Amino acid sequence: MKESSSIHPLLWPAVLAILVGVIAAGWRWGNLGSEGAMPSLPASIATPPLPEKTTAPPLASAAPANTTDEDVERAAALNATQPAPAIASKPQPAPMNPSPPPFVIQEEVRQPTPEELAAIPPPPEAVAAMKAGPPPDVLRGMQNPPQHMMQGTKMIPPEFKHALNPPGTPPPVSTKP
Amino acid sequence: MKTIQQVKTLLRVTILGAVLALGFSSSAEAAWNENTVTGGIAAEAPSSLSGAYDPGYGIFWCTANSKLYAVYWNGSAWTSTQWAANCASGNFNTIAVDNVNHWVFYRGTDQAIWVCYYTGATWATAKVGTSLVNNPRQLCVDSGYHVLWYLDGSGYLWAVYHNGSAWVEVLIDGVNQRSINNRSCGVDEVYHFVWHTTSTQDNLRYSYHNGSAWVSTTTGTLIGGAKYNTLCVDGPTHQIYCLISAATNVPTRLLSRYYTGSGWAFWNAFEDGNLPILASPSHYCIPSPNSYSCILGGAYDGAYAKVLFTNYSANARNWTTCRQDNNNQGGSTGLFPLAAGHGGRSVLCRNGNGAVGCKVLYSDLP
Repeated sequence: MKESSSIHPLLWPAVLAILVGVIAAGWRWGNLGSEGAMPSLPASIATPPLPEKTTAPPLASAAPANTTDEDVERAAALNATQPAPAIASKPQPAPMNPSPPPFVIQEEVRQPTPEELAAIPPPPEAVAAMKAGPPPDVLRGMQNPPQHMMQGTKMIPPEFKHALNPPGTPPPVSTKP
Repeated sequence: MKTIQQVKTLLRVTILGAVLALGFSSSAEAAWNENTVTGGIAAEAPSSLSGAYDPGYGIFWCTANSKLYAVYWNGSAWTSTQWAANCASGNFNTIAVDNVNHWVFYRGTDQAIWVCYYTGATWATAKVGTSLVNNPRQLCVDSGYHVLWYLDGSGYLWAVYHNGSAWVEVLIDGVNQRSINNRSCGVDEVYHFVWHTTSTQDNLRYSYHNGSAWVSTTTGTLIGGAKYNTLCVDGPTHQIYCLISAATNVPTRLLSRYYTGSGWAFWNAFEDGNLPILASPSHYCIPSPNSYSCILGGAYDGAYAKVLFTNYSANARNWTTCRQDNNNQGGSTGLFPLAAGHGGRSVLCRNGNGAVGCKVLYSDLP
C-alpha cells in the first residue's frame, strides 16, 4: 500500500526541531564576526594612508620631534544616551548643537575578525620601521647591555618555577588565523 | 510494524533537530574563579592603580607603602614576594615589564625611573632615569628593543634605554600636554610603534623610528568633546583598544583602532552604559599580548569597578564582563582590577575600600 505523501502527525515535533536548528544556525552564522546583531559588511571603510613627515630631530637630540600630521577624520557622532550604538556607514559631521553632547566618531560598521586583522599587511610606515630596525644607539644598547643586569635574565628564579602554569591556564593560543 | 518505524524515524529526526538547535545556539561560557593572594601582600593596604605582567614571573604591583610585589602561582597557591621598597604608589601605569630580559621598570618614590632585576641569586634595583624632574607617569615597554617609554608630567613622550655605555633618557614627542590621570601609552612590539594621545585627549598618536629619525603621527581625532582616556595594544591583531569618554555621566565606550590595509578605522567594541566614566581616579586598560584575548580593567567611577574580557579563541568573540562590583568600593568585596596575565586569563585585583590584600581572578576559558 502506497503511503501518503503528507506529514504524519507524529513527525511534526521533529519537523519543528529541525526548523529550530536551522533558524539557530542562521542566527549564529549571522553573528559571526559581528557585535550583537550588527550586519556583516566589508571591513574596508577607511581613510586613506597619511603622508608622512620626517622632520623630527635625530635620536640624540633632546628637542621634541614635532611632526604633526593631522588626518582629522570626520565621522558620525554617536549620541551617548542611546542604549545601542547608532553606527553610521559613512562619516558625518558632528551635530551643531547636540544635546546631550555627541560622543565619539565611528567609522566601521562591524567588528573585524582576528583572522581578518592578522591578514592585513602592516602600514607602510611600519614596514619601513621594521626594515630599518632599531635606531643605532638602541641597537648598541641591545648588543652591549649592562652586564650586571643580564646575569639573571637567562634563569628563572626558583619561586617562579610554576608561574607559567597557574590554574585555569589553557593550552597556548595560536595566533595564526 | 509501521508504527514502530514511524516512532523510530520520529526519534531520529527529533534528536537530529535538537542537536542542530543546541549546537548552533550555544557559545563558550567562561567561569571566573577568585583566589586570595597569600604571602606578604596579604597585609598590605591597596593604593596603586598600576600593575604589570611578565609571563615568566608573574604580576607586579606597588602597594600603598611603596613596596613592589611580585604575585605568582607557586604550584599550589597564588602568593607574593616583595622585590623593592621604593616604588611610587597611587599613580596610574607606573610599572612596566621588559618580558624578554625580565626587567621590571617602575617610578620610584624620588620620581625617577628605576628597574628591578634578578642577578642570578637575588633581586637588585638601579636608577635608570637620568632626569629627576620629568615626573614620569605612564610607563610601557618595547621588550624587543628593550626601550622603556613614559609620558612625563607635561604629557611628553620620552624613551629610556641603554645605549651600550649608559642609560639615556630622550625626549621623543614634545607636542602633547594632557591631564595627569587620564592618559596612557601602549607598544606594538612588532611594528615598534608606541601609541599615545594628544594634548586635549581627542587625538590618537603614534611614534616610531623610521630609520633616520623619530617621527610622530596623529591618526584619529574624536569630536564632540570625546576623549581618549586610556589605551592598550593587542599584539597579534595590532588593534589599539581605547577607552573613550566625553564627560561625566556619559558612558565610556571601548573603541578599537586598527589598520585596514589602506587606512586606519574604528569600531565600537563595547558599551553598556556602566563602563567607568571620566571620573577620579579614572580607568585604564591592560594589554595581553601573545593572545587574542584582551582584558580591560575599568577602575572606580563612583558606581562600578569592572573587568571585561573577550575570547577570540573560542566561538564567542563578544566582549563581556567577568566581574563587576557596584558597591562604590564600600566593602572589602569590591575588587579593583590592576593587571592581567596569562593571555588575559588571570587578573590581579586589589580589594576595595582600603581593605588589605588582593585577589586573583582567573578563568577556565577553553
